[in-house]
Amino acid sequence: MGIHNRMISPFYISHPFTLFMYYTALFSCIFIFKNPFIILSLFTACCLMAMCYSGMDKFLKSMKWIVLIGAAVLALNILLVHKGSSVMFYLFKNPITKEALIYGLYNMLMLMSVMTAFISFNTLLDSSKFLYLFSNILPKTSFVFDMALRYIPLFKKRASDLAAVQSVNSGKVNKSVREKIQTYGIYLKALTSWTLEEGMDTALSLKVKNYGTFNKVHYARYRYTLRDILLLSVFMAFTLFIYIAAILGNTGFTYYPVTASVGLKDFNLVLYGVTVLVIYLPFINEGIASLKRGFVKLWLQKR
Amino acid sequence: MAPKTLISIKDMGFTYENYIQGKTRNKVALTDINLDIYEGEILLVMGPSGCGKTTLLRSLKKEAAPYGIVTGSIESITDSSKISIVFSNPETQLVTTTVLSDLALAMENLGYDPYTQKKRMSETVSYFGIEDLLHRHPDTLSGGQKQIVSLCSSLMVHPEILLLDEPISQLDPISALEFTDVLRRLNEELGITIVMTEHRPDDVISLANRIVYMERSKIVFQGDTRDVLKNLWETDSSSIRDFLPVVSKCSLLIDKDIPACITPKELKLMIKDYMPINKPVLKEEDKEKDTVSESSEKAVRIRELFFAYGKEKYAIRNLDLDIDKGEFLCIMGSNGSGKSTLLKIISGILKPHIGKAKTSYSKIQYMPQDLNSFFTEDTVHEQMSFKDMDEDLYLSLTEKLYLKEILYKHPYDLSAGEQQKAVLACMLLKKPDFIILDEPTKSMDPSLKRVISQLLKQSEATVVCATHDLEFAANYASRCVMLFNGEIAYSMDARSFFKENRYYTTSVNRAFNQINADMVLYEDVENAFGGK
Repeated sequence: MGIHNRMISPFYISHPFTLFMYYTALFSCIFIFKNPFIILSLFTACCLMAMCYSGMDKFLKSMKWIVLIGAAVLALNILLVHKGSSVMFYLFKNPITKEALIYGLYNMLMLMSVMTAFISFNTLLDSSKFLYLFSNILPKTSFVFDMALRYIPLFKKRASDLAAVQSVNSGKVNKSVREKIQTYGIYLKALTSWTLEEGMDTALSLKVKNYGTFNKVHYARYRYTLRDILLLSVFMAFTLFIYIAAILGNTGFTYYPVTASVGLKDFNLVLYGVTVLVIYLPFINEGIASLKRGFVKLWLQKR
Repeated sequence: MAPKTLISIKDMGFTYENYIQGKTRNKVALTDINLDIYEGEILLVMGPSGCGKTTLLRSLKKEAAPYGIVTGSIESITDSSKISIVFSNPETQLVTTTVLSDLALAMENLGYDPYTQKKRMSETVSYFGIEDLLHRHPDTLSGGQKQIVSLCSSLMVHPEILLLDEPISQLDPISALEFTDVLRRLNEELGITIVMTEHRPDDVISLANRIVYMERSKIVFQGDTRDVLKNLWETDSSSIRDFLPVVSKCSLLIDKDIPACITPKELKLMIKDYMPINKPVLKEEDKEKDTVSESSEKAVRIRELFFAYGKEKYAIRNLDLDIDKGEFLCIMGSNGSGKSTLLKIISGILKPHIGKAKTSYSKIQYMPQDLNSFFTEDTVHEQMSFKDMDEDLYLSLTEKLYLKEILYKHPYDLSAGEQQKAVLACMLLKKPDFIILDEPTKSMDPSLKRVISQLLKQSEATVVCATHDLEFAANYASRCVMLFNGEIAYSMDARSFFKENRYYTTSVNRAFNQINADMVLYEDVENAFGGK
């Protein structure tokens, strides 16, 4: 799959609000569940989502940093927390405990899950979809935000263009630190006046398009399909369900002083089953769609 | 039946109120304007920079009208919401992150219901065939595409009058033609009235039904296109004649009693009846150029050069190029053929991925396409002056480029043509031996092109210039190369380049090449037909 196929993926083309609810459910799970086993399943789901929708390239590129940060969290927890009853060994007279290791692993997985989830989040709910979510409630704010999103990369590009042109034309190669700071100051000044000057033209072009004369509405870009509503209700009900479970105290896990058993029993087993089913729903969705495509192909070949 | 008058301007005057250092320094922009705009026409407003074209155009729409003292009256039977305006700078008119949101903006602002929005969006986008642009980021579009998107966005509100302020002045000729085709369709198929300003009329002259020629805030001539062209010719002043499109100039030179031609085709049909009186003679400089020996010193030597921006494809591939010291080289080619990339590699901004680019110049000056990235100071004077500057050169450049008026203005407050002048002055003051120009003539008056080419020649520097301006290259370059698909397709001295080309050539050559006359430039026609 990966980035090239995502356009024909049924989950990718879901309504932004459905996607938003999926991520609400996913993030709620990551923060609510304390069981390391469940967190591992969630982390796997986040990785698969990132690989599937953002592509392997992007996934591996981001993973370099995510793994590094995760490892740091794990190491810090092992070295700094000395709680727990099963001491594995002593390091510089400090006890290193099994419980601290397990809690560190849990912490690492939780943090890594959040960061990995954001990789696919950025692809599935890109800026235009994300703004669309808020445009009905805050049309003007979301519009200004959209303008800012357009402007930031433009500013960066202009800064590098300006610096390139100036360095060629000034012909000076070795500059002292003082000179360098001075030049950067000049660039910043020039870029600021450029922005302000252009702002006036932009304001005029908005004015002639009647900006601010009526209540701004938003172009209706997405429509709910039956599938969207179905998925949306599943995600909403599930989110409600796990919050109730959390309030009733069914999502916790004991790490200190002695780590509880990871095994799942009774209600916890049901909870785990439902969670996996809902969080992996996009893949089930994709699977059904690709099976259908396969059958249609077969059917066409037979004819 | 006489056409309906949509807007009628009577004795209008306009003055900008300026307060500089506590004193009132008003600037008169328009005086005694009397003009009617008729339903369904295309009206072209022409004139040198700063003659008041833009002020006149903007006064026609209430929301865009400049601030100042207005006298006289503008009567319009069209509601202001049915008048749309498109400005010259495509950058400032697209403000969001997708083309779709920009297209929808005007409708969103007017609070249209979802059904109307979708209906207008779908029909407009389908009519212009820009469906594949819809989900792209505005920064990935070419200048021409951006301008078409701005136009479509303003058409969503179903305007009756379209005002265009130098819409093609910042576009390359190919994009300019695409844009004018769209305008032609709008006018012919939908009957939308179009009023546009332009100071480079070659590309739009065939569209216009009527022309208004302005000078020093007044209307000097107005009337049917061909009549005004003839009026301009009859003024006998070369600076006014420069505003005529080259084909009209040629036809009026050959026979001023027949209506002026406005397309190369008309000129081609017309000249069949006229035989040239003198054979054009090769200019002396041209002969000199032919004798330039192979062994002359090289300023740049590029061998087997490859360069790519992303992973997908090479923008430049396997390119070999030698640039002799002191030559004026023009790099021609379509959009995206790699011209700007090549210039950036020569200037050292980009490094080649494979291959070598050896350069042997001591002082280089580079003029980027976006001139705003050249300016860092608050006034043109500050931008120009530096320590140990040659005062005499400063004075002579100021005089020759007519910079006196703009010396103490902020560079961003200048028109595009004035900015180009200022940049050239700054560059020449540094006395470089190598000059790189990226599209230097986009919004320049023809007379100015002559001045800058003289100045460049006087500086004795090697000049490398990427340009779409065929007339400029034909007139002033010593050699032209064609960049195609990332490599140099062919290289020739400028005259042979345009003489041998069939499509990619000057309008004079397009008209004359079938009668086997050796004519590439307007000057050749002048020589042959016994001009001055």
